[in-house]
Order: sequence, then C-alpha cells, then structure tokens
Amino acid sequence: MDEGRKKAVAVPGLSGFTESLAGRVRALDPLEKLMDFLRRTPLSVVSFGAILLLWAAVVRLGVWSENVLPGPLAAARGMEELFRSGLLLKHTAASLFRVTAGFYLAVLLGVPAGIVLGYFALARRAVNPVIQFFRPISPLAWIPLAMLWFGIGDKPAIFLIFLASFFPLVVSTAAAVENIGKTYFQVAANFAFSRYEMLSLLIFPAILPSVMVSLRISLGIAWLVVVAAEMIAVKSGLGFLIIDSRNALRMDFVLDAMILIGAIGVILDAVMLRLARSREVLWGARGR
Amino acid sequence: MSFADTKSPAPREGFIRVRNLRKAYQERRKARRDPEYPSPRYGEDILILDGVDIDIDEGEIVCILGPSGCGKSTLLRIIAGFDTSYTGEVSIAGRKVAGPSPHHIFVFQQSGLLDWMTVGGNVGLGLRRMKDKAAKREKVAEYLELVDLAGFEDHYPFQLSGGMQRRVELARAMAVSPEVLFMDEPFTGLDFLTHMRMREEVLNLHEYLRKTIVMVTHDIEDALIMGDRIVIFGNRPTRVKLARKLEFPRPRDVSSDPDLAELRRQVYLMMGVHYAL
Repeated sequence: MDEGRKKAVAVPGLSGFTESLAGRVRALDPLEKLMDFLRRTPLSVVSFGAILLLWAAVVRLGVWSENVLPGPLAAARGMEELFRSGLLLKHTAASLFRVTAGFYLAVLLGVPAGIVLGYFALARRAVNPVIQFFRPISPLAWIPLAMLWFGIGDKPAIFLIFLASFFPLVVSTAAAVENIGKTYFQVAANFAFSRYEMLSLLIFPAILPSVMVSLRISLGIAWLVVVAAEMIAVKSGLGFLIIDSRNALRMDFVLDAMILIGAIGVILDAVMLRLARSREVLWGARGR
Repeated sequence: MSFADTKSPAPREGFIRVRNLRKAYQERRKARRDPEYPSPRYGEDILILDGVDIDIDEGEIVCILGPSGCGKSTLLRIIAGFDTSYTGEVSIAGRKVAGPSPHHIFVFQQSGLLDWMTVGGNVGLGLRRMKDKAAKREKVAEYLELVDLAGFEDHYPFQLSGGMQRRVELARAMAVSPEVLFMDEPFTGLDFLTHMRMREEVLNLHEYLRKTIVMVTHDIEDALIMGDRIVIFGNRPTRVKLARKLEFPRPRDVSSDPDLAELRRQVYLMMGVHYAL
C-alpha cells in the first residue's frame, strides 16, 4: 500500500495531479471550519435566528402595514409591556392551570379505564366501539354543550381539555395492556402474584414506557385545545389574550401570545421527555 | 451456604405421575393449510396427546424428546399447571396438579425475566414475602453467585447477554427452592459455547440441589448427556415411544462410551434420521 503510493508520486504525470488535489483540499478548509462551527453550535439557535431575520425582512419589505404585521422589535416591546402589566403571568397561569387540571383528570380516569379495557376482553368489546365513535369528534365541537353545561369560566375549558386527552390515553393504555407478553402473566401465575401485585409488579411497570409516550402526546393535544377553548368560553388565558388583542387591534400582543404558546409547548414536551428517560421507563426503549 | 437438605428422606418414586393423559386442541384456522392433505376443519378437535403415561422419580433430570409439534411443550405446560383442559390424571407428590404453583417453577423458552426489574428484583421474586430484607438480599446474592453472576444485582435484563439472562432465570427459579423445575428448551437461541456452558451449569446445580428437573428439548445430545431418564414422543397424536432410565456414569461422553453411542444411534433412528452419524 505504502509502496504503491510512493510509485504513484514518482510518476511525473501524476505528481501534478496529486499536488492540485492537495491544493483543493486546502481550499475546502473554510467550509470545514463552518461545518465544525455548526457541529458545535446548537442548530436551533441558527434556525430561530433565520426565522427572526426572515420576519424582520418581510416587515421591512412592507407587504403588510406595521399594524397588521409588527416586526420583532415591536413584538419584544409588546412582550415587555405585557410582562410589566402582569397580564403575561396572569394569562399564562390561567392556561397552565386549565391544562394541568384537565390533563390530570384525564390521566386519573383514562389510565385506569385503559387498564380495565386492556385486561378484560369483554369490556373492550363492549366499550371500544363507543370510544372509537367519540374519538374523531373534535373537542371543539363540544364547546356549545360545554358552555351550556358548565357556564363560563374554568370548568368548560377543563372539560374540553379532559375530553381531548382522555380518549387517546384510554386507547393507548388499553393497547399497551393488551400487548403485554403472555410469558409475563405466566411468570406472575407461577410466582403466585396477588391481584395487587399483578398491577404493581406487572401491568403498571410493563405499560409505563408506552403510557409515557401517550402522556407526552396527549399533553401536546391538551395544550393545543386549551388555547382554542379559551378563545370562546372564558375571559382569561393565552387564547383569550389572542382574541382580546385582535379586538383591540394589538397585533404585537397576538404575536407575543403565539410565541408564549410555542415556548410553553416546547417546555412541557421537554419535561415529559425528561420523565420518559427515567430508570423505570428506560428498559422499554432498550428491551423488547 | 445451605442449599441441599442434608437430612432429606430417600427420593420418592413416582414423584410425578401422568396417567392416560389426553389433550385436544380446537382448530382455529379457517383457511386450509394444504389442499393436498386432508386437514382438520374449523372447530374440529385435533388430538395432540393420546394416552400418555409417564413416571418420574424425585430428584431426576428427565428429558422429553420428540419431533417439533408433537406436543412436548403442551405436556410440560400441563404438568406445570398452566393448562388444565385435559383428561387423565396428572399429579406431583401425590397431589393432583390444579394450577401453577411457586413449588413448581417453569423456566421459559424465551426469557421469562420481568424486564422492568433489576436482576436482584427478579431473583428475589419468589422471596418477596420475606420480612428480613437483609437476609433476602443475602439469599439473592448467594443464588446469583451460584450462577456466576455475583454483583449483577442492579443490572437490568436488557443489559445482559442471552446466556446471562438464562442464568438469572435459573437463579430465580432455584431461589424459591422448588420441588420441580420445568424447562422448555432452555438452551435455544444460545451460541454453541454458551449452550455447552449452560448445560454444565444446569448439571452442576442439579448435582448440588437435587431438584427434580423436567426438560423439553429437541437436542438429542442434551438429552443423552443430561437425562437420568429420557422420554421420546412420536408424531401426533402423541404417545410415548420410549421411556428409559439412563444409568450411565457421569460425566458422560458420547464418543467414548460405546453403549451411549449405540443408544444415540437408536434415538436418531427413532426420530427418523437414518444416515450414519
């Protein structure tokens, strides 16, 4: 191998070619530097920077007036105003409260219901078609009824969030229980598990990895729905902030609310992802 | 360590008794399997085990051999109490088998470890009612050491190789000090060397603890090297073709013991392999 390379260099016609090749490699160096820079910087910073630039550029082009599309600076000033007035905290807290309440309610009722449906084939056969019927009805379609039943305030919004996350949770929990390997149940029978141990030592830990995934997904859905629900049924929350600001022609506030919704969504997802990396769940990602 | 009961009474004969065992499955497939041959119709009963009689003495290793699909795993599951839809009589230590029991531990073909529990948690599964936590931990450590896995308590099954997982399952089974150990093709899926080592491991454990082991296998060598008794099944509907006590001295070596070699030749013939070995 080494000898062959020496020979190639010794051939006069080829030496020029190798030299030019070396020159070209040297010419690539700045690109390599760039790649190295990209590898070390979180790329999200770059892409968010690009979006910010694009946003500013569109505003500068003047396609829409500043009243319709405020620039990044105007949005930042609006954010500051919202923060100082306390509205930012108030609306964010209101939205988070509703999501938390509705989501916990859905988890508290949906996971046990899913376990029952997954474990008892008879219950599954009876209830599953009903769930499949209700599932495609958007939670937003329930808004008129929810407002009539629960009035104005937190309750209808919480109800809608509950609906939005309940059905996916039931379905995925039931599927997870149904998919637990038969061998595990035989081991449980062999070691004389009590009813409680069947739940605590087998079913619950066995479904935890896939339930964590569906918790993450349904929390995302809940966050989507809360904003929509707040546009109609209540007088606080980030969804209300959007509608209220539109009516006041404060498009900077509208954009700020959107930015907040996105940021909080990312944080909620990160929290769930963090939980999904815990010791109790990790085996599911690496095991069968 | 105090594994073996030093004052144990003489091994009971006919410890496990199977009499006139018949077992049928209902055909669940609607599609015909092969139009050339008459196959059972949907809902028809297919006889799997047709009057099987087996006697197993206490402390024996019994190897059940047979062609695939002959019902050897079914038989094992019935004796272990996992399957109760049969006719005939199955008893262990004079008691009719009514269901699975911690006294009769089943080692599964694929890993039966609970994947969300650590190795220590799995081995301690049968000891979970022990009040003394320190004693329990000590016992888990002892049995892990017995299968050469000392110090692996906090590992999860997915962090172990296939052979190590089987050993953990063996330790878990032994830790409850069962009367009988059932093994359904315990060496499948292991590489050759691991297979040999596991075989040795099981034999050593048996030498030490003298538990009755009923093992289903399709590996004739395994059966001849390990078995105190071999039971050979024919094709479905299955009857016992041969049940024989093997009184060859241990350690056994098929290539140096002419009687064992002759038996191996007969077993191969019985199972339909005719060419020279």
